[in-house]
Amino acid sequence: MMGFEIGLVTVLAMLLLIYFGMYVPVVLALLSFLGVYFIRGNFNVATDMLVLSASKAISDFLFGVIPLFVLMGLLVGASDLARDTYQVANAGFRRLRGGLGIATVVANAIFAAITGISIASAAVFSRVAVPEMLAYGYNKRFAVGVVAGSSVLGMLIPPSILLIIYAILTETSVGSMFIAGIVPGILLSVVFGLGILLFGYFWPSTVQPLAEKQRVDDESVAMSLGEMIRKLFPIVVLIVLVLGGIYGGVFTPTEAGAAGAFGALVIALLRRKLTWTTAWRILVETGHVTATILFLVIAATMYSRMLGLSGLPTQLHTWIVGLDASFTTLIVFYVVLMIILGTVIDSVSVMLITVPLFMGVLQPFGVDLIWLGIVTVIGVEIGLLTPPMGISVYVIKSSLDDPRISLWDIFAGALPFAAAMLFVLILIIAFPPIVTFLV
Amino acid sequence: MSEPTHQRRVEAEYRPARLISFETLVVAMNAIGSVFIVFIMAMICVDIVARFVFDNPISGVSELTEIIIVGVVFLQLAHATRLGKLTRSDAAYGVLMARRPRYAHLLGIVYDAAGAFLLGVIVWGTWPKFITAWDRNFYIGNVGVFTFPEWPLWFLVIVGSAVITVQFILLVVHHIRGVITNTADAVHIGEG
Repeated sequence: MMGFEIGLVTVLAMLLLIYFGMYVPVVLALLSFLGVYFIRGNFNVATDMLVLSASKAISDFLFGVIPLFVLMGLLVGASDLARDTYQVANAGFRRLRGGLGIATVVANAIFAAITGISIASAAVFSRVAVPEMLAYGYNKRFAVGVVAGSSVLGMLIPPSILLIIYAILTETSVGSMFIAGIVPGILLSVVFGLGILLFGYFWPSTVQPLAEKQRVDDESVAMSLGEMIRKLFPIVVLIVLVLGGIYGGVFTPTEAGAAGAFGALVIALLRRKLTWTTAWRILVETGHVTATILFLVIAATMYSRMLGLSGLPTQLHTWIVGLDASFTTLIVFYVVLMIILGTVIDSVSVMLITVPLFMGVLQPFGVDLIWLGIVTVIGVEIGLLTPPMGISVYVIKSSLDDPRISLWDIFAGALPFAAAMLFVLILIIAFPPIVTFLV
Repeated sequence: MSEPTHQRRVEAEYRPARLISFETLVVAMNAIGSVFIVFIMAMICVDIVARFVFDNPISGVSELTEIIIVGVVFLQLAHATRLGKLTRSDAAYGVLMARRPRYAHLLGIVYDAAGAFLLGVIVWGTWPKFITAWDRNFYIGNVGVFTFPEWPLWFLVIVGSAVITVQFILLVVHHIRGVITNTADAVHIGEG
């Protein structure tokens, strides 16, 4: 019983400290350390656990995947591939109402297949797509909202850092998680696109109030098929290399990351987009992202070991079974908790806190871990689009650097997209085969 | 420092001139970590080519990656900490920092001291493992295929954690100054 109580107090203290701005990995590791110390009453056991989590937990070939996909994402972000994709999508959707918005969604979905981090897409598309939409008289909230909303696709459509971390946490295969993300990712893009069309025709003021006056000049963005193919060619090569390599069983995810990063490097060099300064900035940024994410993973390893020792998840399970709560109620509770946490902390942290706690509770119900992973990723990302905290929103704000657009505009613009995600999430919870039939 | 208009930059402010050498160390470690990432990429790509073109995979790629990835994290973390990129929730802390800098700095002292304690414990606990691995020639990998000594792994953790500990202590000093001068920091948004 003591272990259970210590575990519970520790988890509650964690949430409190994280809310008040203490570093998430420090909170997780330190309180887990104290938790283990109080459960076992032995300082050396606690230290040993801390030390082994810090070194051996991440000393694995699989973790090489994180810096490599981050590097690849930042390299393709620097080489104007997003601009090309956006132009091709524009040419394709130019005749539709809200076409630039739909083009943003589609370009993001394609771009997501070569990047694993949302911040890369959010930064690039706010510079490429937002000015274009504003120039054609789109509602400014819609313009930034569609970029924030569709940046989420980067986390759902493989390769994705979030899917990789989930796979690592739950010991499922990265490849299966990548396959599972495809259909929900496409479904979400379609729902976004249909939503834009619907609003564009029935409530034009929310999308493009000046639609009649300022139509996109068909000829200026039109593109021949040959030009489209030429512009998309490098992306297709990267997609085939990375995803084809993984699905074809040729590459492990880490190898695919290395090949993809190298491919992105070659493209960036051929396009002369890489000066020494840019290259160095990209490397340093890759290092920061990798170090902070893996520091979180270290802390989370510690935390799940502490939870295991405390017996909290098992106790929670017994308690919930006693309540006669249905599986659906539990999942709804899980999603709501993630959305709430996602409003104050970043997606990786939310996942590292909730997944170890709930895995022990949900597994006895025979939950499909791959399906749960997709539910988790979408749930976490909904929280990210809602105030006060949203990484993508802040990235968009800082890459735009436009005083006319406030943080509040971006959050308000992203809200309909968060609603669309909730809709897709409900569909996936109601019809699990959407995720599982491919895996 | 006293003008509220200068609240935007943090880094440059708390860096006393005599600690330039420490900053150099942090930046150099960050550079080595960055080179490690390129090395992992290059090594794995060479292995892929060797396997498919020459049907002759390189042994040890997986083992070396296992050690280097730990190096990437522990060499880069001090720099990330220094620039305020560690993951945190800025919602409440940011508001407090803007309105009541003194109280925010008091919290900051607690947070960074906690970080220093944590990383300090890691240094203290890793030391014996490093000594044992060194003395007894522990290795990773399989005999006859590829082996590599285990001590560099522990060495990277110790050096990295020690530097991060010092970095956290410097941040504590910075917050103590902040409490005295009641000056706000800009709050950074981390990635992830």
